[in-house]
Amino acid sequence: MSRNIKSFCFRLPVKFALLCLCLSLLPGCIKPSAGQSDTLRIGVAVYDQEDTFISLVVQHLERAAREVEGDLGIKINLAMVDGRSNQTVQTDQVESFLSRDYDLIFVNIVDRTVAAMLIDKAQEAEIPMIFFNRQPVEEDVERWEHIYYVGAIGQQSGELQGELALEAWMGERTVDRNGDGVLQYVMLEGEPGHQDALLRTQYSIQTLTNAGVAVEKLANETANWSRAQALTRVSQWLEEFGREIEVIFANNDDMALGAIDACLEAGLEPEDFPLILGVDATPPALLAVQEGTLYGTVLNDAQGIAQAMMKLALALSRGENPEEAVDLEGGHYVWLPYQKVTLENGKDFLS
Amino acid sequence: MKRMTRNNLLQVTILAVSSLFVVLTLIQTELPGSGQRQEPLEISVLIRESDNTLWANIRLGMEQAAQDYNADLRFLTPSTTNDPDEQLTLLQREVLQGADGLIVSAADPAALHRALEQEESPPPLLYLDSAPENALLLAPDNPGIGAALAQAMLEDGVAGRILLLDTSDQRAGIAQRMEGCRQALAAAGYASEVLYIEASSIPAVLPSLVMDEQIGAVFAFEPLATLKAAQALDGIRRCLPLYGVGGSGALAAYLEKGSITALAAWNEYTGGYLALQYIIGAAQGAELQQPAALQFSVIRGDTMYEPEYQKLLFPFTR
Repeated sequence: MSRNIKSFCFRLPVKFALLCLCLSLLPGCIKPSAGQSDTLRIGVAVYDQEDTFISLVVQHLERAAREVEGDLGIKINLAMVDGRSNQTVQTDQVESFLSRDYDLIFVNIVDRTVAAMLIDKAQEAEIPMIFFNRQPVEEDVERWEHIYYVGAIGQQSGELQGELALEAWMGERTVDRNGDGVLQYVMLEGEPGHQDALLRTQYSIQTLTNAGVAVEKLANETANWSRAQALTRVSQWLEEFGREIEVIFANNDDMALGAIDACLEAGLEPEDFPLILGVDATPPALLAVQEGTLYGTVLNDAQGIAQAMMKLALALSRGENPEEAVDLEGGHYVWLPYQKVTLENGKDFLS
Repeated sequence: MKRMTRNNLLQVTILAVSSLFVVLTLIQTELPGSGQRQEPLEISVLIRESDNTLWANIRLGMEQAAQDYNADLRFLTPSTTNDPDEQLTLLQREVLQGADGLIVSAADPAALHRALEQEESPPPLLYLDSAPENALLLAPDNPGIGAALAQAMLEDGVAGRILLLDTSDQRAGIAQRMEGCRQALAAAGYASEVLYIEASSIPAVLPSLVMDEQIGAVFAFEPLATLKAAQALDGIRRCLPLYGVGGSGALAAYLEKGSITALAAWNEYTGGYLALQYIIGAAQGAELQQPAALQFSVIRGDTMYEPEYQKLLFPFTR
């Protein structure tokens, strides 16, 4: 073999190898389309986006995210999906977030009794999960240290709603229409089995009876948190009981607004309405309080819930101790307080 | 001979290591748990209302497309409705932060467009509802919507003066809807009055206006104005026909209740999906062509549960 041929034979592989080496390093030199290192990707799975309160929490989450972006110079991408009240749909959506490597997942679970399955999947993928507003059972939350719940204490909302009724009963307004000394009421209940529905139903009445008020339940039925369903129920009750109804308790504001719709459709003037009480203090309910059609509601702090979730998410994404970011109870729970809202203080919450 | 062997060994080793690099590079995206996922495109969506409730179905369509095409959606809601300055600030921030594509329902499309043209290499931008001339727009046939709503009123045989709520401000698309309606009414011999108003002021202003018995019908040309008008008319004793635009759950509820006489609606979920699909294509270098107009239908309370309309108003059944 001549020297030239040998040289060619030896140099070719070396050149080829160098070329390969350069090619192999190329992908690492390409700038990603969007620098993801400073981006926090959060999946938000809600049980039903048509629920006014949940939609409010999501809006506050988005505002909180933009504030954090402005303050800290990072990006927070919130991907929102609607479970449409179907746990199978929501489970698929959460699995999709997990498979797409989201940094955190916020879950407003459809069926609180199946949280264990989602929690196990999150643990397997090592992606922290923050539940909100619909509380999973305690044993499930305990399954992994990076599972959290942010929400308010259902019992307190019931107690405060009961206090609103009590104040009206003891006050100047004539709640006792028939003068029999007994408070006749109807109860619009949330989704069957939902712990907030059960607790609000129980503690609103218990607060009255503990204060010595005699009560008589004329009717109760679920309206599934829905304004339209509440309208139908209350229309039937107005036909059946008429002025016998002295107080309408609704487990949430959407249903309280449905009760107002029914009263208006029945041709009642606001001063002839029974006392109507809701929970959540959603913007339309606050307007109804100002208009005098809704006697009172209980503030479920959507903004506070959103801000607590965002603080928790930031701490977790930065590897910080979450207990330093939020008031964490039992290593897993962030509780927000409720507040009573009536005509007197309603304007404070309208903004 | 000994030196030759060492060279050979060295070359073979380099060749082997390099080949291994190439093979690993080629298959790295397929390796389970490699962590080298293709980075998602970031698409920023800027709406002009501070309350994004009316965008729920559009957003769901966008989220689905984001999942299908590996994109991250940044859905940005301003703190004040129809504030061009805040929207411009948000848009500039998104461009600065490296958005791959933008979808905007602009408070002032022309001003936004001028500002974007100042940017060095702006990402592709798709407007919804209204756009400056020659810009990319995804919308239904805006003048056609106005004419179709006018036709619905003519079929109802409404008599009296017709009140058109002009909430368009700087948005040509909304103005085109109103103009289409006005022309169709004029052609049928109806005189119409235009009330220039912010959508948020409708509940305070409209009830007293429509107590004038001579007003026979009210028209609104965008979802927020339609919702506000429905809320305002719902609280008064007089039954007055309202013709509006939009396909959200809230509007469907008023249609069912009879507070809205007819709605011009299109499939918002599909619209959202198409908008994101289009802008992702543009961000990936696809040739930009004006998107086709979204098809719309005029729906009444007594037809809203017909299958073809049900799909528009309720993209999902529970």
